[in-house]
Amino acid sequence: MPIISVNRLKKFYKVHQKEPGLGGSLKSLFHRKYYDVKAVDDISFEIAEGELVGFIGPNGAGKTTTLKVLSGLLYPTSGQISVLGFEPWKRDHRYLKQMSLVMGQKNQLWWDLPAQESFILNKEIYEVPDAQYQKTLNELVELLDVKDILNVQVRKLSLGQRMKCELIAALLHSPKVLFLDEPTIGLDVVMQKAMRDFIAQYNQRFNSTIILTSHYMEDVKKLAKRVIIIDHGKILFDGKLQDIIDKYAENKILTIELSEEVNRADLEKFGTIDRLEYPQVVLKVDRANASKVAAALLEKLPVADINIEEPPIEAIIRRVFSRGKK
Amino acid sequence: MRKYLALARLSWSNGLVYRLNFVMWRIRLVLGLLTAYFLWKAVFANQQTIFGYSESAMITYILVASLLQSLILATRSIDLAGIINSGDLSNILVKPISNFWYWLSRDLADKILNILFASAELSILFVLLRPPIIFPPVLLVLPVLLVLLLSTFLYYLINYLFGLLGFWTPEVWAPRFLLFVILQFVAGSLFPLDVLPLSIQKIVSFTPFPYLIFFPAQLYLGKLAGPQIITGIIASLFWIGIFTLIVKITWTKGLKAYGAEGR
Repeated sequence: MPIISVNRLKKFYKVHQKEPGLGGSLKSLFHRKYYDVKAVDDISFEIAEGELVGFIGPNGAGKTTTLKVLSGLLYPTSGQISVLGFEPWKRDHRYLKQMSLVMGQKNQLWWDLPAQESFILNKEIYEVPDAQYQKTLNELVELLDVKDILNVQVRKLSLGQRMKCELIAALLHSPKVLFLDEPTIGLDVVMQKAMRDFIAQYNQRFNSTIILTSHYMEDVKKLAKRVIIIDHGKILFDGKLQDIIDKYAENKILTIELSEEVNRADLEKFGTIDRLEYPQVVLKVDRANASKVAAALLEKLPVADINIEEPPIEAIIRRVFSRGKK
Repeated sequence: MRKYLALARLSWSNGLVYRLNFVMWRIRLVLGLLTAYFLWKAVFANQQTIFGYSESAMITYILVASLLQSLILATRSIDLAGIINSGDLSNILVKPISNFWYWLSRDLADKILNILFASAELSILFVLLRPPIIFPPVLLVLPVLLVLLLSTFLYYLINYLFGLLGFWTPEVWAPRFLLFVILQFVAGSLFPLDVLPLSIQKIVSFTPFPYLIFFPAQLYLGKLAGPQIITGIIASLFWIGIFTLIVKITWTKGLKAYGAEGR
């Protein structure tokens, strides 16, 4: 029984077209041309309890729109959606109490008050019993290490500190389903890692179902076993991260440490040269024969060290997108 | 219920962060009140009665109307259109809380604060100026309070409806400003409506506006007879019903149009 099921979801926005300039503005007062923007165009997927799924895609691909439909903010143009057995857009309070949406670029905390105040408000809104509230709060505060800043006005916090508090506010009611939209956006590398570690821990500890969107491949790579790649409102790929690599990666990357200088031509026999900076060479070789090529290299050239790697995931994803466009 | 109390409390502490802002707002109200007071004082300098109002009746009307205005005016929910436009409405929509009561409880929290200050200010003014003021008969206290609740709620509904326009257009300040000006003239906050020509009074009486300030103020002054009071209350309830309905429909339609912008 899937926790989230989306069946042929479409979400189109009506946007009115305006010609530039004052003339255009006047014209648009009386006569407006509308056209549809297909933010999400016929997508289907199912997610089981406890899964952590990564949504990836370029800006405007439809990730955020999908999350907004799932959290009941947007009314779907067509299709069936069910989350925990509810239709999100009806915004049944029984559903909202088990769900949480965190948007990296939006804040729910009261700007002029300490985060603690917003927490207490959320406790009341979600009707969390006192004991459970204290327990959850303590746990989250410890996991995220924010003890000292709970009584500081939110406006005075750094972006990273604020994001941590945002997460706490969103998790106080122990939601079964969690939608994270770019939770690491704008954070520095250290803070990104802290956030990632926390999300992974949270997912394991509470067995909550999480959908995560991110621009940073690192987030998805570290967190999600399953990814859904989406572009122009359509799903291009849905499956294990490893499967994308198997399916879309054509090459492997051989990094070779040479003990003597070698002719460029000799190297080119083995594969495409990506970089040659003696003593290091980076070669792209056909995926299927990577090990054979490596063996041949070891035999024929003065190789001190050799390393076989998958191409970076970013490059593979770019391939997925460029295929989707054809 | 508890969630709305918590919200009101938080709204209160949030408001107090901007103390200067609040003080300025109060000063503005007091200055407005003083202007009206001295204007009518001057008008009555050479006359006993104007439009059937004695000096004390008129002064009382102006004071009461200004007090009423500060009571029924929505001070927080004017942000509604703005947060719809910015997409911050999403923060409320994803929570098990009603947007309608969210803003109402924040407005009420603000009103309580304003009532406290207005009472203090009026007491000081009273001591300083010793205006000739009429107090209502004890019998009328309960009806006045009831009517006050009705007009507060009615104004909230109208204001909320204007806020919902934010679903369709970012230009909500112009219509709101217009509403504000109309209110000054036909709700009775600047002058009692019965100083207007009869034909205009007639037209105005078919709108919800007189029930906001004029009707409660007249009731306070003891100018209304039993049947007029009953009719007024029924009319207020009627308008509340109508606006509740319109608000409901508009809200449902608005949600379907909502884009949850700003990512």
